[in-house]
Parts: sequence; structure tokens; C-alpha cells
Amino acid sequence: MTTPTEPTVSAGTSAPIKVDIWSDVQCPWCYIGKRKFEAAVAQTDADVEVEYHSFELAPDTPVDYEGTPVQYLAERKGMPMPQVQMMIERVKGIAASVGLDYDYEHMHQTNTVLAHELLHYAKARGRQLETKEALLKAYFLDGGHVGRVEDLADLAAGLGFDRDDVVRSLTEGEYLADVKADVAQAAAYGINGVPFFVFDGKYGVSGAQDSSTFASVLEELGAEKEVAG
Amino acid sequence: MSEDATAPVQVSGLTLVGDPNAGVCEGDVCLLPAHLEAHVVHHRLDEDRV
Repeated sequence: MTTPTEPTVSAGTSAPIKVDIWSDVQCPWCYIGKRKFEAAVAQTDADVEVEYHSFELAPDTPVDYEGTPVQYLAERKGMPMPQVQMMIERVKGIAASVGLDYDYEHMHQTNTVLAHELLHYAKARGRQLETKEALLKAYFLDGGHVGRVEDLADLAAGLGFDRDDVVRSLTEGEYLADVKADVAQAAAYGINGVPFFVFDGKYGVSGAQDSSTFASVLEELGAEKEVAG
Repeated sequence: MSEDATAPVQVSGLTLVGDPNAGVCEGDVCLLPAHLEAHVVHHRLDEDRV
């Protein structure tokens, strides 16, 4: 189950800071948090190695749910529509502040387990990071469907993967056990929500924190490595 | 760690740092922490200026 990870930055001479990130594909704070984390990496010029892990926020969601997240929350969870609309508008405002134009009118609420399997497929081929970004972009910005085999295969093919092999992998559930292992690891850490960042197996950062928080953790670990190195 | 970081809390071997009220999704619902509303207001004010 051990698979290669992709270093995003590799400038230093000591071992990079390992950042394990638990995240779901249709988690608005995960994409926002991703941008804030990336800003911190750029700001600190930290030498990091990032690995994404699966977390299913709503594993009971039907793949073919016909509706947006707004409808899902109102119809399935009984939240008053005005409350949902207000919440969505506020999240959109935060997303816009980090350059993400969330398009809630065209999002397809779905089950994300196959998207997580695709992320493991990509990780096994050293291309998890670009696949993660593509899935988030498809869901939040482009109105793409990230729950069905054919849609995911199209997305993967657009990234240069072998479409037929992706269909085979997702149909067989080749990486389903890896997804469940990630979920189990999250439970072992006591992670209840996402995004959740684990730095060098030592520091935990929950949520879409300000970039300064991520930066301070990176600087702290960088300093520790210098002293140790 | 930044001065904004909360007092270290051990969560299954991890030292938890950062604002405990940061935006996070738990289950189906991703609620907006109240303290971030001011941020949204500021963003909208900036948009209005444009």
C-alpha cells in the first residue's frame, strides 16, 4: 500500500517536511485551505513533500443525486433554504478571497469514494497533486461530476492517464482498500473534520487556517531540522 | 509557532496548533465560523470599492 509521493519543492539538502493532508473532494474548506497552505509554502520557500489522504464527509450520498449542494442540504438534511443560501454566500466570499470562484449553481453533489480511488491511482503513478487540483477545480469551479466512473475517466484522460486503465481500476475497486485505510488512519488520529494537516507526524493543523499559521509551522519545523541536521 | 496559535493540545500524539475556529467540514455540513464573517464583510467592501 506504500506508494510514491510527489515533492512540491525540493530545494533543501535535508529531508523535506512531510505534510499529510486529509481532505474530501467536495469540501469547500479543503480547497480554500489548500490555497492558504500553498501560499505559506511559497512564502516560506519550505522544502515540503505533500501527500493527500482520503476522508469521506458524506459516504451515504448517492452517486446520482440530482441536485446541487444547496438542494442537498435543504432537502436531505432539513436545513432551511435561507440558512443554506446565507452559508453558501459566506463560503463563496471566503473562497473568492483566495482566488476561487465557487459555482454552487452548477455543482453536482455526489458520492466521492471513486474520486478518492482515482487519487490513489494517481498517487501510485506519482501524480496525485495535479489530480487533486483537477478534481477540486472540476467540482467547485467547472460544474464537473466527480462521482461517476466515466466522468472521472474523462478527467483523468485529460491529465494524460490511460482512460481505459482508469475505468478498469475504478470498476474493480483497485484502490478502495487504500481509501478505507486513509479513513481509518484519520479515525486513529481523532480527526473529525477536514481539511486536516499533519506536519512530520508531529503537528496537527485543523481547518482552513490563515497562511500565517501554516507558515509558522513550516518555519518551526525547518528550524528544528537545521538544529538536528 | 505564531502567537495566534492556541496552547498545544495533544490529539493522539499530535500537537494541535492554529485557530480552533478555522473553517472545517464535519459530516455533510461545512459551517462558517462566526469569527470569519468579518473577513467576508471586508472582502465585500473591497469589491464595492472596485
